[in-house]
Amino acid sequence: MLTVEITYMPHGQFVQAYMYLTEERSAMIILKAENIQKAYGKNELKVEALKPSNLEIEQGLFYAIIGCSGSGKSTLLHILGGLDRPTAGKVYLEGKSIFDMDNREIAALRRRRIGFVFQSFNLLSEHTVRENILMPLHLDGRDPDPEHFDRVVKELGIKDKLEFFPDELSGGERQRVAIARAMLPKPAIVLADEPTGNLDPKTGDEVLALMKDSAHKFSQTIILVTHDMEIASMADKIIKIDNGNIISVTDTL
Amino acid sequence: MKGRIYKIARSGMAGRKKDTLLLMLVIAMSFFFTALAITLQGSFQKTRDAQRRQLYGVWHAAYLAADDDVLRLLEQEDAISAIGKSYIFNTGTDMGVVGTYNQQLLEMGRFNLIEGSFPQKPGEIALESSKLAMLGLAEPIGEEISVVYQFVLKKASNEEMIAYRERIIKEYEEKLMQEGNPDDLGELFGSGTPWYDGMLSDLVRDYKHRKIDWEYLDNGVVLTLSNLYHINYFRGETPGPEEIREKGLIEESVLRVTVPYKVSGVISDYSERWDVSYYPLANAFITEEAGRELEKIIRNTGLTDNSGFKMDGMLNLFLYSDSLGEDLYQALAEKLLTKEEYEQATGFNDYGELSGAISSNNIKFRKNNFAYPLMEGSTEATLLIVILVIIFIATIVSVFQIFLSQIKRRSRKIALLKSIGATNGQIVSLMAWEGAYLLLSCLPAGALSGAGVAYLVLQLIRLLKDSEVIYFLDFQLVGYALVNLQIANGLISSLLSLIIAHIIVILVMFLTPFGQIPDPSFGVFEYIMDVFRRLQLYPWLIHLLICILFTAVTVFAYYLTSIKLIKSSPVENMRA
Repeated sequence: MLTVEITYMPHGQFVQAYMYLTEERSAMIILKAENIQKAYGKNELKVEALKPSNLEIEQGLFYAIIGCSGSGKSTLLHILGGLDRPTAGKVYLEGKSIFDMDNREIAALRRRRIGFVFQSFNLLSEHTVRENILMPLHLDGRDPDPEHFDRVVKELGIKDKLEFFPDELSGGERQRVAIARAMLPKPAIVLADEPTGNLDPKTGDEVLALMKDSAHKFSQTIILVTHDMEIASMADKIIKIDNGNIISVTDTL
Repeated sequence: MKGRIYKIARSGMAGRKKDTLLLMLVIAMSFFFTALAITLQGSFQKTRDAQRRQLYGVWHAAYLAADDDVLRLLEQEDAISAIGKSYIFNTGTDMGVVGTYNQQLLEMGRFNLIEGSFPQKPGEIALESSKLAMLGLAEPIGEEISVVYQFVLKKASNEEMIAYRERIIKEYEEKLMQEGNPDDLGELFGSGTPWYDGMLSDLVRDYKHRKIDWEYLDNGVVLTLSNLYHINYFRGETPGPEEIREKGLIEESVLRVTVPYKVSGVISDYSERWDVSYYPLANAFITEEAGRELEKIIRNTGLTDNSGFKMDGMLNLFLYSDSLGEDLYQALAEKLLTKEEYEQATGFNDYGELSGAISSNNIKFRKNNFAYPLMEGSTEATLLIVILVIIFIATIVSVFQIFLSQIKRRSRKIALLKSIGATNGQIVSLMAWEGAYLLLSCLPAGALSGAGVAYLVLQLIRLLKDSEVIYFLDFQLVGYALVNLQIANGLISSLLSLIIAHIIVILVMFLTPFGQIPDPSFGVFEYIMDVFRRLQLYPWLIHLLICILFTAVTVFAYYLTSIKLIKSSPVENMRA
């Protein structure tokens, strides 16, 4: 961003002028959670899955949420992505509070601004790979930019699998289809819930590398949930969560 | 937008081929059996109707033993499109009744010509087959027969005879008193017999004399006039024929006309079958011209002055109405019948109340109840509805079974679509399109194949039983039934959606301690049964309105349940 700063003296005398460039990107907060909490049940049965927390996610970075099972990491991810409604607190995506929107606006947000990748792939088994990838765009009433489509499927190595059904693919291939589906609408943010959980380590590493790579190319923000420290170390920033509390947000080395 | 959702629905259904095919098969089968049952039943009904009309004639109403005044009256009625006329002539023999025919009567009568043809010329006659044996004819066509017509010109009643007898006695008594000749009494009773009232009536004697006159006409027609004279006499002597003719009473005067005919054809017996009570129908047919000639012969005979002869009460009229059909009778009854007759004929009085027995209906103006019965095929209709209900239940059970096997996948699919940004509306329309695609692709195939198989079955029956069977595809009824079935399928889907919703909610309850359970609020089954029951009873418009209303309710219910289903399929399910 180009900033011009001019200083005047009280009697109209010109004193000095500065001109400088700031790299706004690094400082831009794309997703902001304010005092979010999530509890299930009431009174004695109340389970606090997420205790009051604040979080800011910067654009273009790769975040890893790490914690042990039941620590609330998936709950946090779902609330950030608008899949799950928090008991209290607000989440702002690009400055707009997503839980103050109506269903239609949230649906539009999921189609355009947020991409999801799940541990269990969650592909539509009765539709072909091509249809699966195009589904969010079709639901949005749009047709894909063919060049972009080609680039995404080529990048993810599924160009020759487009007419297959998900059941005919290996786990790694299925996850790549899911990633392609999440990436194709050029979302601002991609949320991934243990995307490598069902894959063998080698395939998992490949998938992660692809995600990171494509996110970089399309300048997308990734938030990834994992319990594997090794995977987390590939991220730019690590959010540690334990027993519903966000303990720290740290840069990786 | 719709187009895209439709495409997604279609490619999705193509993707799960096995399930889709199974569903299509079940739904198509239900349409198939519906069309089959209705078409078979309708065809049998039509065949039966046709057979009945073949037996009893297609005329809607008849005025029997009428005269030309009635004919003129009926000819002015716009509702009557054809009048079948038959002037009938009695033959005092086993030959029965000979009548004229016109073309309209032939069309209405559905007479079954066994051999030959109907008479075309005055000298020809066509007979009912039962008359052949009586005439001793083995090879009837072309044979000459003589028909003796009998017209009773005069017949003295009992009262007339008694009055005549008493007049004779009185005259004789007066004569005796005036002349005062006791010898006469002595001669009659023996001398010394005292006078007592009524003694003369014991002495009166009856004398009869029959005189037959002949007249031969050129064309082989023979007329005989047979007069029977009667006289009462007191004296011991027998009165001579001239005296009887001059002074006596004509007890009976019968004109017989013997006409030679050539047999032109033989028809199946019908006169005993038709719904005409005791009124005579022609057992043999002659042409109208022959009838007119016969009338002329009777009128112009030289044997007696018969110029006043009229065909009163010898005209049978059969009426047919294109516009009113069977309702023709009702339309004319009030005009043609007296109040008493109307009550007797319809069973209702002036005030529309039931007046009593309809049974012994001997009224001249009558309905063809045999060909158009009042209570037509109600048992078959009930049976058909039972069959349709069975098909309906079978469809529900099968579709239910198939849907049950898909519940998990379906609820997962909904959650998944929501996670990638489908709106509730899109999911509702996706499911609606799936349903519509199933119904619309199965309906023509099922209905057409049902109608086709019904056709084949009827052909088979035709071949095996060697009898005429009418193929009748009742588009209206098949349409109604299919629309109802479609509604039923819609309802099944909504019911199933509700059940799915329940199951999902229960599943969700395991994840979250508190979930909302929707109330099952459907009492629709009875309603469907009701609509099916009314299928036969309601006029088409009311039925159509019920269908539309019901479809609207169904669509609304479907929408509501779909919304419920979507609401209760939270995206949290994706974690599982």
